[in-house]
Amino acid sequence: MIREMRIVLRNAGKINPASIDDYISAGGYKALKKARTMDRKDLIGMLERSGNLRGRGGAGFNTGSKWGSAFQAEGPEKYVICNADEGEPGTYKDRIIMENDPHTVIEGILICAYAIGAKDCYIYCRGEYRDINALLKLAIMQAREKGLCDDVEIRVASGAGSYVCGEETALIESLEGKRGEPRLKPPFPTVAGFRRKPTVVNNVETFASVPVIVEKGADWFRAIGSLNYPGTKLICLSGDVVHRGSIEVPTNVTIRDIVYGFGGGIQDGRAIKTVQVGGSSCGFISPEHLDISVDFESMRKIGGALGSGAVMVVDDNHNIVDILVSISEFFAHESCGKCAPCREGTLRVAELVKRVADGEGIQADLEQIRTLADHMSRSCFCALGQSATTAISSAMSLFPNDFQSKLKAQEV
Amino acid sequence: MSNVNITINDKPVSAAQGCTILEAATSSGIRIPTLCFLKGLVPHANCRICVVEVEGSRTFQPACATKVSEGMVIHTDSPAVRQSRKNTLELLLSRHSVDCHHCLRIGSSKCDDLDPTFCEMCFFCDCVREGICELQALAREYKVDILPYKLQPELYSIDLSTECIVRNPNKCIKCRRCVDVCTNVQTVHALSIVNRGSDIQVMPSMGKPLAESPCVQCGRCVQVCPTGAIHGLDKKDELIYHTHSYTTTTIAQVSDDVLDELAKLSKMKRSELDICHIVAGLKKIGVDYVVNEEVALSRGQAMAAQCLAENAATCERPIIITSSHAAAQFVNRYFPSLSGNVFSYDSAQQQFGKLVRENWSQEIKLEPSKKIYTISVTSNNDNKGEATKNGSVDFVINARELYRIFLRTGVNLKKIKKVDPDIFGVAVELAPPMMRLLAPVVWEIGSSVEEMDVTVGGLTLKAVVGKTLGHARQLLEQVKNETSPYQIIKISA
Amino acid sequence: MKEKYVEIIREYKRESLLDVLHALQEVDGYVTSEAIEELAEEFGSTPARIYESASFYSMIRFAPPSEVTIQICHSAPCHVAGAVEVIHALEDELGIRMGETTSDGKYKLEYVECLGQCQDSPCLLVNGILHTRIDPEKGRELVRKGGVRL
Repeated sequence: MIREMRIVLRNAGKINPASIDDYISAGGYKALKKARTMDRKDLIGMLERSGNLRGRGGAGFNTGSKWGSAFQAEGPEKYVICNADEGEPGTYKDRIIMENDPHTVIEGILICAYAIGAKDCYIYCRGEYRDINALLKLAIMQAREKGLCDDVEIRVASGAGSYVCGEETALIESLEGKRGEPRLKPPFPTVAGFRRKPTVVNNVETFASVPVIVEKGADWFRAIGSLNYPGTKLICLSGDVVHRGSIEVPTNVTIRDIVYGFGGGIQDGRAIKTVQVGGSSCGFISPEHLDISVDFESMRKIGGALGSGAVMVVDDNHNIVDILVSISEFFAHESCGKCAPCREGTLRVAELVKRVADGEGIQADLEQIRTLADHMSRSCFCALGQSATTAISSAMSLFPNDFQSKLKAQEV
Repeated sequence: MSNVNITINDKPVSAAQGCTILEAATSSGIRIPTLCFLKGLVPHANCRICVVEVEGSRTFQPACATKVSEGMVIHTDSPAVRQSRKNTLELLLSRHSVDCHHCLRIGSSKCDDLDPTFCEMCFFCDCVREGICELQALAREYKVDILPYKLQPELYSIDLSTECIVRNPNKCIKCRRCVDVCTNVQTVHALSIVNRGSDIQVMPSMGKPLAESPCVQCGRCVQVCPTGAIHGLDKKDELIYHTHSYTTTTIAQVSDDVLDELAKLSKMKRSELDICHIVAGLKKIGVDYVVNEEVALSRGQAMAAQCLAENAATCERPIIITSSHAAAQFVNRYFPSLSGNVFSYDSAQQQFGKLVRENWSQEIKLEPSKKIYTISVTSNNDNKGEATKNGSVDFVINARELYRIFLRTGVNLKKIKKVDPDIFGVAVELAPPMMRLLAPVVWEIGSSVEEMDVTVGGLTLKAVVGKTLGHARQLLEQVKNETSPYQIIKISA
Repeated sequence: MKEKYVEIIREYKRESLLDVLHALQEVDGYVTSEAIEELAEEFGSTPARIYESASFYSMIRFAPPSEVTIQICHSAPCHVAGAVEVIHALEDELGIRMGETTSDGKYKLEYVECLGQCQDSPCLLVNGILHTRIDPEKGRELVRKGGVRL
């Protein structure tokens, strides 16, 4: 079985996260110094061509390409934003990273700022993580006092309870003091982002990976995990497993390794029903696919997605429809409300799912849910609406009996 | 700017680079339905009615906001896209008061049962938009007969606080046209969109009643709302009652500004309609006298001309003139230190009211025993607010309301025999530059201020005409900062 | 109060709008209309625009909170770990349903979305303080202790 491999979490448990001296003693900020001696194009090329560091927030976009696009964009005013608005249910990896080693994130941000030529950076950290907010501010102050920031300013901005602000354009709107409503793309943030200037938005885990890649080189990184998604990924286990927690593993690890190896198998010796990989916006994985590795392409082939790396294990004691109530009500609550299909659709889907879960549903309700799922997946403005019904569609195809058993008995 | 080659519905189209799919389709004569889109405003693409299929994209793209690219293949009317539009309409109508969806007269909601011409004549329908609603038109087109969701009861109370602009949040589809116009074009900041998800609402500032918000009743929100969510207070029934009554005298003034919209609504060419048709129609429903606005308008303008003649040359700061009630309110609210610089002259409506009360009642020998009701027919909704506040006239009717009145009373503008308007009083003659300065302004999104030179008392002065409240704000900021290059500033709402 | 609001707004002015709103909320437990008006004044904006943004976010309140607000995580991992039983226990103990306030106004039961503590689910917040690995018995105990930390 593949072992845990700590790159992003290399210092976790070994250093005092509130001490920059500990971080430096452990080799910290060497990568930043090295990066600043490199030609910017070479630095970006390292990430883009060789490393193929794919974004760890869920979308998996090539980080080097993103930085390259911002680097090439016109104008002196550029921004770096770290997306620490972790909100996908089942996901807590960014919290673990920031709690244990805030400096690796800051170092990654400063390397990016150098690469694209930005002087202002923001960490948008969800409002619920108040202690982390404070820790980040402390770490930034320490870095500034050590003269590591150059003339780059990093500010920490709070979120205030909105999942959709994890979407990069909605995050930018929120940071600008507006409602967190996604923007039309194109233009992409690397061309017109924060204050309509070129902006790189990357996830915490992505930035945390950067210092090690710069230090050890792209070839070293590419040799770890799967070729289409190299390196390690933080996986967050939750649900009916024995060991719930975060692990960092090479991306060619299988779902079985995660659930039975690291997770210790199902609690109380029960049987596995399904695993939801990627959080509430992704589908359920059938037990017959447990030996698929979690990298992007392998997951895509079975109609799933790695997403944020959340792994929620469900045992055979649950009716999937009951779980879908939480999921559909989550999206109804978090929809920004801008576009009609999502605003109205998430409301109606939650209503219908609840009705079925409570035993009040009829066959026509299931048909209507399917119609809405089909409609929303193609017509909504942004990824929230488009993926709000992915879990439901997947559950309907994997567990039709769970739905049928809940329907009102037909009058004879 | 070169063109790009795209395909729309299997038809090759050459489109200007940088234009949207909607623009490219419209210029090739292909219709894509829209709902939240309004020319001049930045498209939000939130109604998802204009979605089209673009080959190579898994999701549908909004035509109003997606720019064309070389080789793009677009399908605007495929079954999948039509189904998507229908689904969106079903969702919208399910949380919309459905008094418009079910025809009370026929007792059916089925679109096929409704003959369009018959339906438009029916006045049992409760909705204030009565068949001129963009949402209803789309629902008919996509045959949204059955609403497959639990219909929500009327959740919100109706806001009648201004007594001239009515807000009915139960009909709001959150298209945001009104918020955009109020915020970006008028810069009044009375309307906003609050909360999140299905709880979002268009609301006056901080949830107060409209009358307690910064609203100046300019009425532009009424003009752009596609449904009956914001509309003018409806007094058609009362008006018809008085015009029909033998114990009252009714006199109407008709402004030229209703002709464009009235022609469109009546499905006539603009060249086929003139004020004499309206005069004939009004007289047919019992209005005793109908005048055009020439006399009243010119008298109001003369007031302005006189003020300018007396003050413009000697005044140190720019003189701000306006015949708009809403614009004057705007100055009081946002630029109170400049209120003393504003000269408000009578609008055509205000002069009309005065003339009837003070001059014409003798001239036309109106019977003293009969009550006189004045009716101002104008599409400038600012006049509704003015009449409500000042009581200058008894009724203010815009083009939509006039159209509905004619339909209900059987006036057919296409067939009616024209009648000349009555003439009372004499119009005041003004010098051409003054005419140009004081001419009624057409409110349009995306318009610019108009600069001109005006000769007053032998001096040539720099003047500017603002056409929206956004212009007014711009121009007044300059005055406040003492950087204004103008001596005369005319503002309107 | 106005002076206190202005002081806070100016201290946090370089921060984002949400940080200012969090700080203002600390004063009264919620953001008052007066605070919004001051905020508009200091930011060169209008109350309509400030409220438009502020009302979007779940964590910003515009009415005084109850003395004890219990927020239970509503997301799928907490559900799978047994949140439903905890909810039933709390509802039973307090005599109210989710979303309601007790008749004396002291306790309010609310849902909250994923708190990012899924390794220790089910989770809930009591007046913003996190409690993890809650089972029905612990939930009842929380209520009996008046919401004080276990």
